[in-house]
Amino acid sequence: MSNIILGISAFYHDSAAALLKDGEIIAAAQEERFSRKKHDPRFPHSAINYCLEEAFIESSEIDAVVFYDSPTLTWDRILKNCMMAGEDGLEQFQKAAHSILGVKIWVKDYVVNSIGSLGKLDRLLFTEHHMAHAASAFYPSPFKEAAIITIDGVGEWATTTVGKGSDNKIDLLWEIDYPHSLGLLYSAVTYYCGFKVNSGEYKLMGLAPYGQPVYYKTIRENLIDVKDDGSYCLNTEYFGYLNSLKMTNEKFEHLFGGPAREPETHILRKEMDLAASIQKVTEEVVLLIAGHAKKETHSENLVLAGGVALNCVANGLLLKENLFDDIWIQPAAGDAGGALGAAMLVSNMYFDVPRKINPTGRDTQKGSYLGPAYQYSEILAFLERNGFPYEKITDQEQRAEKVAQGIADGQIVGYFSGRMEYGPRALGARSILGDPRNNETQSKMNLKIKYRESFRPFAPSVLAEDVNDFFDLKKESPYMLLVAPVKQELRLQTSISEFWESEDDDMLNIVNQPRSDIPAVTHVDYSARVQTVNQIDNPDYHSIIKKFKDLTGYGILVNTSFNVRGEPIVCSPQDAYQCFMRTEMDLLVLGDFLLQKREQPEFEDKDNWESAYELD
Amino acid sequence: MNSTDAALKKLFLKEILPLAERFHSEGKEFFLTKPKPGAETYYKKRGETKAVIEEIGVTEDRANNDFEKKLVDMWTEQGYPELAVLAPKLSKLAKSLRLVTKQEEEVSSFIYVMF
Repeated sequence: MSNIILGISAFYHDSAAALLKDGEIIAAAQEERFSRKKHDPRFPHSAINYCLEEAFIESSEIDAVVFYDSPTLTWDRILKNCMMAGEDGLEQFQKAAHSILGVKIWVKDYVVNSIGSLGKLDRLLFTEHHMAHAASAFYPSPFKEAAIITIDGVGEWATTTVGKGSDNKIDLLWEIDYPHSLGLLYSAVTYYCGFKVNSGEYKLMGLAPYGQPVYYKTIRENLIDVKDDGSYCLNTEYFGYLNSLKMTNEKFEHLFGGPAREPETHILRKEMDLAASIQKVTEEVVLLIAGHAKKETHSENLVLAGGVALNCVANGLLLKENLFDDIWIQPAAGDAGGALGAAMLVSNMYFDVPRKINPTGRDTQKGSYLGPAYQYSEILAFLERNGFPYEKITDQEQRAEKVAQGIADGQIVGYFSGRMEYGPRALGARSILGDPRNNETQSKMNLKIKYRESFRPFAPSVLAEDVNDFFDLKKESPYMLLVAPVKQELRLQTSISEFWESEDDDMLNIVNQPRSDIPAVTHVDYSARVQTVNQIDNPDYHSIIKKFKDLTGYGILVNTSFNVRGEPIVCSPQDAYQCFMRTEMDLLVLGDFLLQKREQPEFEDKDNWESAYELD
Repeated sequence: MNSTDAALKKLFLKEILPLAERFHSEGKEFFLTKPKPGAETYYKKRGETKAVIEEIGVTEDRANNDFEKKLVDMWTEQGYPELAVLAPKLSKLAKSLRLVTKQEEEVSSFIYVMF
């Protein structure tokens, strides 16, 4: 009889569900993809239904259901925080009471309402938040043993943990607790720079190379004390999150010379420099923590999770430091991954199901293609029902050739194929593809496809076997979680140094300068967030890039997520078609079907999507 | 303000805040609020290094009492019997809050989602 575990994360941000069968990942998906509400925090009914469907099981066959966070410990932290805040703690107390006492401790009701039972165990299990992160990092990794680091905003109390995994056991040995949090520090600067907390942190990372770390000393001297072992302590006098509903306060504003930037206003040199400064601090702390983990565990391998593990610039530096022989980062490193981690923890530590280690030496995350696929018949029915003109090419090679030719001809392609990705990155299942050689691709994609800020870089998908033709990267990066430098010989001189020295804050002056012969995926500091594509994980996608290489000599494409700004990545053929028609993409690939924009009927956009999708 | 929010406010102002002020006057702080001069490390060594997987029972009363019991056990073990005394009131409030609270649909743009 199989052992089936359902893991759930919910009620904070990025709710998700994951299902294991005898320790193997069968399905995992974020609720936002189904609900079409970005970072959807609500109970993941649709994601759970999908997981059950994918596994072909009824809820009665589930052995156990597990939630990724302990409401008891969280309430302990909240109450004590409000007490420390004194009178100012009342607003948070009331809000938190509703959230924890009114919703989170009743999570079993949501489970029962959703699937009719709590599984055969007839009890809802709860794990600790950072244990779930640690499990999501260690168990699917290729390593028999590894050092573990988890860093996020906050779980119950822990914000950072260091531990080790061996066989199917995890031990978390040290932690740093709230209110001292690298994730919250980063979020505070995110907020101050006018980006949304809980979603805009990665924009700050992308902004950093435009600035200089002129505020580094200010941050280190006033906001955070960092020890040589990587442990740290914040000066909470500068932060609003302890006694208000904002990340920063007047003292923070005074330190940095004024109020926070209003969202959607012009980004100034100050924000660029702040981004560079906080990025430098973050990198430093992450490296020091890694040094501590190495010293204490003596492991040659490192695994990472928690939202800060999505800081792929820091990850790239970590790899370059050679502290560890190998590093593996959970693709769904944020809270969505907690669902998977909680399930894996219960599978390994509660039911003692033998851990699945891939005998090939690869991980067991299956390329993170863990969400729904749509069958040929479903896609055909959708197209026929709506009368959308298409060309059917069932031969994979021919289809790849046609798509590659389109990209080489300058087309922007919406690519929808196979199972959806789990985690925030598009990895060639729900991607928008373009020619990286074209200097206008970045601007066109930002302004006419994604409708987003034009400073934001795009990332490359490169044939795994060709990665060192383009980047200084010593290992595979299948999940786009490592930033690496573009090879020196491919770089072109720009005026970025002059930009840094000047008072100029118009980033377009730099964005539009070709930086290499793959300008669309080369950031202003010659870095790139790389995805290496191998034939095993995604043969169709690999084939397209290979065909593009045959045509152009370049085994590399621009890969950005298939969505417009503020929208979750597309899930269904309908989502994909809508996004396609709402933008200036040229070609849509839906499985075996190719749709040319010029042939499509006029699109009646019933949803007022520009206001429905709040700018992120 | 509805009666539940009024009850929350009353609990905070009448019981929790005075307790907080007492703790503060006795020098009991729950966490550092700023760096400590001379600190060698800010890591806390975890007492329990392995996963603790909690279970919570299925019926309404058991679920709520599990929560109440866990609060009492936790705060007693931590050496805060004064907090443990609050557990029944919190448990009772939870039953009321359950009836009036809907899950959040939006993720805040201004503050990290910590609760």
